[in-house]
Amino acid sequence: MKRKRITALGLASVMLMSVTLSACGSGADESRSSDGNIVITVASRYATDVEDEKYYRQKVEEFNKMDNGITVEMDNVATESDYLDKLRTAFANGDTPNVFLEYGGSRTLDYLEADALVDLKPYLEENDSEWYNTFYESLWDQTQYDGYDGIYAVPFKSYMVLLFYNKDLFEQAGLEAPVTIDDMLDACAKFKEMGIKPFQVGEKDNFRFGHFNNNLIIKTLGVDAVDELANRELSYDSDEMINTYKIIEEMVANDYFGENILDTDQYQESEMFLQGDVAMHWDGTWFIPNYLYGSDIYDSIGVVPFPYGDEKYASQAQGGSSDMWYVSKLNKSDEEIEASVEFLKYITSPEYYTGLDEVAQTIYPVKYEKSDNAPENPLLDEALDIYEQVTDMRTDVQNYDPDSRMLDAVRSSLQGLAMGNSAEECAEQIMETVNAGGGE
Amino acid sequence: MKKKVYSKLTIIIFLAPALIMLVAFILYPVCNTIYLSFNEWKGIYGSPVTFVGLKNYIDVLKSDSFWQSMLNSVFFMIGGFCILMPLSFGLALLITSKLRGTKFMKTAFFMPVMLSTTAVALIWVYLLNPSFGAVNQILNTAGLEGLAKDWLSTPGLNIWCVILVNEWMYAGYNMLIFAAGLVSIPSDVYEAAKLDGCTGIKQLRYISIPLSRESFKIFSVLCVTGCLKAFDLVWAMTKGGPNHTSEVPATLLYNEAFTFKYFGKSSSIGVLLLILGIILSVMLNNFFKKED
Repeated sequence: MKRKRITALGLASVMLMSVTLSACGSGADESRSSDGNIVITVASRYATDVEDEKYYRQKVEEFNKMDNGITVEMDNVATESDYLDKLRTAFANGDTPNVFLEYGGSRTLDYLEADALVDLKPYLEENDSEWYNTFYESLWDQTQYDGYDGIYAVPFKSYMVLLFYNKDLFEQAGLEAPVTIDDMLDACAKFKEMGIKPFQVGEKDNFRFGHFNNNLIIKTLGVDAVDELANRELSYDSDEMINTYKIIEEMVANDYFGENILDTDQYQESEMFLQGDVAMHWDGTWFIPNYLYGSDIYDSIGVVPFPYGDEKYASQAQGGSSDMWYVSKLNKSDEEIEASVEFLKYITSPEYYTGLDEVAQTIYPVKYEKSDNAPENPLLDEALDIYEQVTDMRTDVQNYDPDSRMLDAVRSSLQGLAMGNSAEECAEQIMETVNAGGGE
Repeated sequence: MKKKVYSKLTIIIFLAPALIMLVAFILYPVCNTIYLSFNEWKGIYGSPVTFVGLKNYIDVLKSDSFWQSMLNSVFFMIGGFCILMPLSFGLALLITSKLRGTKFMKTAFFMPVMLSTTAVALIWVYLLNPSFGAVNQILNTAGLEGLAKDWLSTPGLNIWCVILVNEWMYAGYNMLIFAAGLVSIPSDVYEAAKLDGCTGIKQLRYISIPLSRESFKIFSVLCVTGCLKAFDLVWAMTKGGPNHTSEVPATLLYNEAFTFKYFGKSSSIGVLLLILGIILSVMLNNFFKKED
């Protein structure tokens, strides 16, 4: 009997120990690999097989083979929402990646306010600002925040939103590429009359109308309006803003954006344009390497700046740094931070972009020497010509807003226009979020 | 005395694993959620947690999106009681009957339960696609073009599409609950009723339904709590959109926490759902007790 009891007690103790130990986890030094290298985790969305993402992964592998005492572990999640959710969860539990990709704006401001980001300025200014000077000066704006001294990110990709058009369809319709918003609306009417889709929008991904509205704002009210919206000098329900929603409302009502737009996603939208049945498509410069280059339709596509509503703002555009790298200092040792910076210097070096130029040509944030092996890409050359004429740029309008929910609020409300809401209802819905003051 | 202590120690040690699990995975998260619901927290490790009293609750109760999501939850419950319950009970009657092929029926009706929610959602998202989905293709072929809709993007209609898919998915599971109740009714009750002339619909009304009260009670509690916490199917089919029209409290809670980093507000939604779930469960229990 006694032996039985001892056995039972022993068993129970083993169970208890296993529960307790499993909750404790490993106490080993997780920042060092078995060969003594410092291990850093780099989180990005570069998980797909598009050329620039394959190139990124290949360069990280090359970095790992270098004898620098650093091992990079990639954590790549392609879908934006999944990636951002994973990142937020990591920040909530304190186990963040050492280096991570983000898009700036109020979302990263939260991390900065929580003192979770490394100020990269001292590293950028080393050796007479050698690293700093490799980037285009205009892109630093997005890496800095009012009230915080320092630079908290390095640009990795840059972009500009342009209007791509099918030259064959425009020739068929006897039209020139649109220069003004009115030209664009006239072209839409003409194409609709001919039974050709002027656009086919994938508004299931609600950033599509978001980008369209960004361009309407910048091209009719100017980049200053972006700053005024952020500091509430310009209201989202002002007449000027309602007019921008009205353009979308009118285009929805006239079916200029295509069929079933709420059930079409961005990938389907791009594919439909590539099939040659759609006359126009607005997109970032990434559309050239990711979709157009090497496609059958390449020679039939032309590119122009997004049409303007006011000629004064013709040379302004939506663009800037799209992807940026941030270094986390949350529970990170000095040597991990040093290793993270070392990795960033490698991944943003001119040599990296020279190699990238050979496989995926687009607009880069870094000054680099063009490779002799870089293929001819006349469409990109046209895009670069447009880029050079731009006098001022802003990325997503709500990226400058202090309230992190504005991006979603505006995009959702614009999505409401696709459901048949009026411009006034759209404005009213946005104002509900503005008036709620962000909730917390 | 020594034996008694020894015995108590054994009990405590045996209970400890389960208690640790209960505390770590249920009690602690619940208490932490309640604590956070009275605070502001940006969801960043080490960032300050600021006490704000009832502000989060007031903000949530004042927001239209919360009431819109609650309305969608009510639709889920209406669907649960008006569609899922009769459907599951009907299927249970079918598989417990003496008809031929009940084995096949059991497997066929239970099949959707075995599929993952994401797979079910994807199947139905494609079936309901307005451009190439089978539903609209069939309607068009049948000359019913007028009935072809943009199922998942039309406000008001989209939430009902998700609800119907939910009923399709869970009918087999609830069928088992009702079937378990039906087979537990002694056969001599039916035989005695038969002798008294109680057959067919009468037998269903006076024997099967009243004696399946426990099954209805279980179904009701599961349905109400399930409807309040519905998340996965909505997320996989519509993500609460477009323009938040198919939002349910759980997707709202998720967005508040993980999209906007308002963990305090998100926690207050969680606490409200918990309270509502408890109140409704108690009310249902009382209702069934009174019936007894």
